[in-house]
Amino acid sequence: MSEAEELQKLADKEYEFGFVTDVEADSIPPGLDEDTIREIVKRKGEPDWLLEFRLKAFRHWQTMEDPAWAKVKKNTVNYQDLIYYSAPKPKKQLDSLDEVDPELLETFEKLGISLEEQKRLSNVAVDAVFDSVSVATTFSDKLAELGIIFGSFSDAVKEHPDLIKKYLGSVVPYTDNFYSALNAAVFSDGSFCYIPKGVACPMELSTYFRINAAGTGQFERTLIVADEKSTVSYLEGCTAPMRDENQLHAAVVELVALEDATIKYSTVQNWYPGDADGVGGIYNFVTKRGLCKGDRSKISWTQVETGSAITWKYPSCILQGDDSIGEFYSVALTNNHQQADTGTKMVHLGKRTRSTIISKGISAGQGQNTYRGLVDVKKNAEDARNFSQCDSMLLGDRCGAHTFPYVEVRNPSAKVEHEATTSKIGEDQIFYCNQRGISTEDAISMIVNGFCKEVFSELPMEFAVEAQKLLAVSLEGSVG
Amino acid sequence: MNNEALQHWNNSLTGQSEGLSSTEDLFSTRRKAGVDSFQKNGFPGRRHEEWRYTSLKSLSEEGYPACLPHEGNLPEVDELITSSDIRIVLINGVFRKDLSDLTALPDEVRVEGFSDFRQRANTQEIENFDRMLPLSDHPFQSLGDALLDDGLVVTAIGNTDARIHILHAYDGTDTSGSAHITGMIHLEGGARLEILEEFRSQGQVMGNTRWGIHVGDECTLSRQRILRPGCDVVFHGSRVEVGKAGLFQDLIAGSGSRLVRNEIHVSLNGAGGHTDLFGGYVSDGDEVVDHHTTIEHAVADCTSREIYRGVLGGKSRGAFTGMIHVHQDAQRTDAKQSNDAILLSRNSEMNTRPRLEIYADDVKCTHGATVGELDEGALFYLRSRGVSLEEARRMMVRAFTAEVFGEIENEGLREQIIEQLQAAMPASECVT
Repeated sequence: MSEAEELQKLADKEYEFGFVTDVEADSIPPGLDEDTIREIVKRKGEPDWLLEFRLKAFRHWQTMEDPAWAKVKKNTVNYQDLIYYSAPKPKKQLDSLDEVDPELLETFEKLGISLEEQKRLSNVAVDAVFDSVSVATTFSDKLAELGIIFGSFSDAVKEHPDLIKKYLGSVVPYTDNFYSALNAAVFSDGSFCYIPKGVACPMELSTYFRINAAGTGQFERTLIVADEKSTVSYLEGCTAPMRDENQLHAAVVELVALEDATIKYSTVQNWYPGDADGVGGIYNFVTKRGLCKGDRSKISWTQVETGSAITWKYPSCILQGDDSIGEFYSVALTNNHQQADTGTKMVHLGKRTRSTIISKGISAGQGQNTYRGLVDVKKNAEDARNFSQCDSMLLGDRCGAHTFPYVEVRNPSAKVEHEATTSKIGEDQIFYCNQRGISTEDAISMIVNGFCKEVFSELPMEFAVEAQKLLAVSLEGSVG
Repeated sequence: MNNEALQHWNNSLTGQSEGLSSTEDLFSTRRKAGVDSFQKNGFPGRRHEEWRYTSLKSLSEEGYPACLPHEGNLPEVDELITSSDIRIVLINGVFRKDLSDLTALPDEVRVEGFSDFRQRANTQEIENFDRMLPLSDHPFQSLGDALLDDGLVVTAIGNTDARIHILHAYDGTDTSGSAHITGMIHLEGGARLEILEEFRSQGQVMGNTRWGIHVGDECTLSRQRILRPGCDVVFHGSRVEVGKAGLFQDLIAGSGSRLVRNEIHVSLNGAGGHTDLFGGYVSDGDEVVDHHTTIEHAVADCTSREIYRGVLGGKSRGAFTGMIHVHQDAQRTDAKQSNDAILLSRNSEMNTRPRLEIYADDVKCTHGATVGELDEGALFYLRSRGVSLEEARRMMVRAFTAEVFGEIENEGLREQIIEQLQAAMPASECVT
């Protein structure tokens, strides 16, 4: 089948992952006040110090306003209408996959992430978050042999309170912004990962998030700590069922890399973007930040953002250790009425710190795609180096591509370069392809994939394949 | 702004504004609006996105509220080498016909003081004025409106060309204060103007100049602005509309001012319009140089080019904000922007913020920004060939700014400006 036919096939079908799993959900009523938080803590059986943390965050959140600076148009979110806790009721204690709710397992299979399959074939450990509670964790035993802790946030709170206490909120404090404060107050679950000294994690760690149960805001919290001389690669991917009302997703991801540690964090985000008229879709307001705490540490963010009605996300690096490295590779695609305001912050504190930013924005239909970034070289960051490149591609004449980089330099030895270009696919390029028997649609798909190659090459293999497919699907109908 | 300082400003502003409005009333509504707007907003702090890198705090607390006296002397500096044969002098914001030389003015070009204009302006002209300089909550615009008094109106209609030297002089030797100048330039029917705007100042003075500029179809306005050493606070705002096949060229160069804020808003409203915006500066001490530009590509087939380059030493701070807005259907736009800075000292700082907003697909837009120090390898190369460190640095800075100053056709003037900037160059702390 030619790629064009494949595209057409994909274009003709409805959002593939738009189904709701009918599981009896154990939810608390909508609304948010201190009692809601106490209820979440009670249901999850959390310790008092975490309750304190949540309450402090909630009180701070109440003093804040929903930020309006991003270049997006959104409906006002009524935070009192959301459900802040929703857990699928376990039928009994879960010891093995056989005991998992078969309906849930079926859902995962539809998503193409059958746990058994994953286990057997791909050597990928999957911590699947179904709504708010981790259902099954695989490969934990194998990882445990190396001393790697990888599991749900809730379990980590119980089993490794010292680590959580030490690092929770150390990179993204609850005072950071409106959504991180909200998340700190009501976070439901998420993943925790700790790589001990000198350990190179032998497999890609992966979490599939999925929003289910109508009206549930999902507030995951992910914390990854890489101890001295350790290495880890983490994958995050998302799909969500079709909904007509806007669903809010305000996650927080914190990464800590100690001396000589490396963390690679990859995301393919494919949440429901709303229909062709811009109705529905996920509001994806995420705070992601990594701290290169130790010397020679490295944090690398790679993201492919194709879903969500609105994306508001700035994975950042605080380069505190000398010679530390921050990287950001991004492809953001907006089609139909999607809006994305995304980018990164690179804060250079340590000496000889280096950062690279490669951002590729693709706008189609009436999509609005904004790159917003900050390169901040502080006074003591001797010989800091940054290279930023922001390229935009416009497909169609009703979309928009915007670039708002901020460069702030307080040290003369810094070398900072920023480049941005905007282009469309040239008629000559298409003509060249047509001449050689390649259809216009295939040509566009090829050119767009080529445009994003620098980013895709940073992705782990299986993600790179998925990302290219996603791009083709997300572009459907944009070829005029 | 603290309350006391604000009160002082507000009282002073109200009094002076009412004083001006008592003489005639064509613009009194506008003055009132300016007073109200300033009283409401005051000087913005650094939390205001448009003023993130430039604090106006020092302005609110010093002796700027009173307008400078109408009488004053020309500050002594060497004359600029200029090919202009028409000379217009404004001292402390007042158009001085007695010191100006308008003998070479062609018939198609008219020059008058804004105070004359505002007494005789007809409804159409006031409408034009309101369109070109709309009311806003911008602090300097509000002050300019509140204290709307004198300035300049230049009109050129028809197939003509003229070279005009406008000398803005501020004399704050006896008393500190401010001067507010409102100007309009109106070109129609293929007129071509070259304007050299020079700023000389002594003492503690805030010079607030704003222009509303209309470059009609097939007209050309080529403007060069030179800030001579010794200027204190300079705000310079221009709103420019460019018609079909119109051309607006601008260059700003300077050194030795305490605070410079240069704002240009160019709207390319007709096919084939083009604009060039250039800037070059050297700063030292605790000077602040802030260039803030917006180019609107409102229709298809327009082009723009922007280059700003700065060399910063001491504790000085530089800022650049450059917006390129390509409207829907502004196809075949070609916009290029670049902003580069060299930091010579540990405590200097550069903040740059290029912005692109693009709503059309067949466009070529690029922007680039670099910040760094002088290249050590190149310095070493020169020194190993017997060039002294100072000379090597001068050569490199000259080369760095060449792209900007190469635009000045008059060789004498070009050398004079480069010499001014070289003389202002702070000693480098970074390179040994």
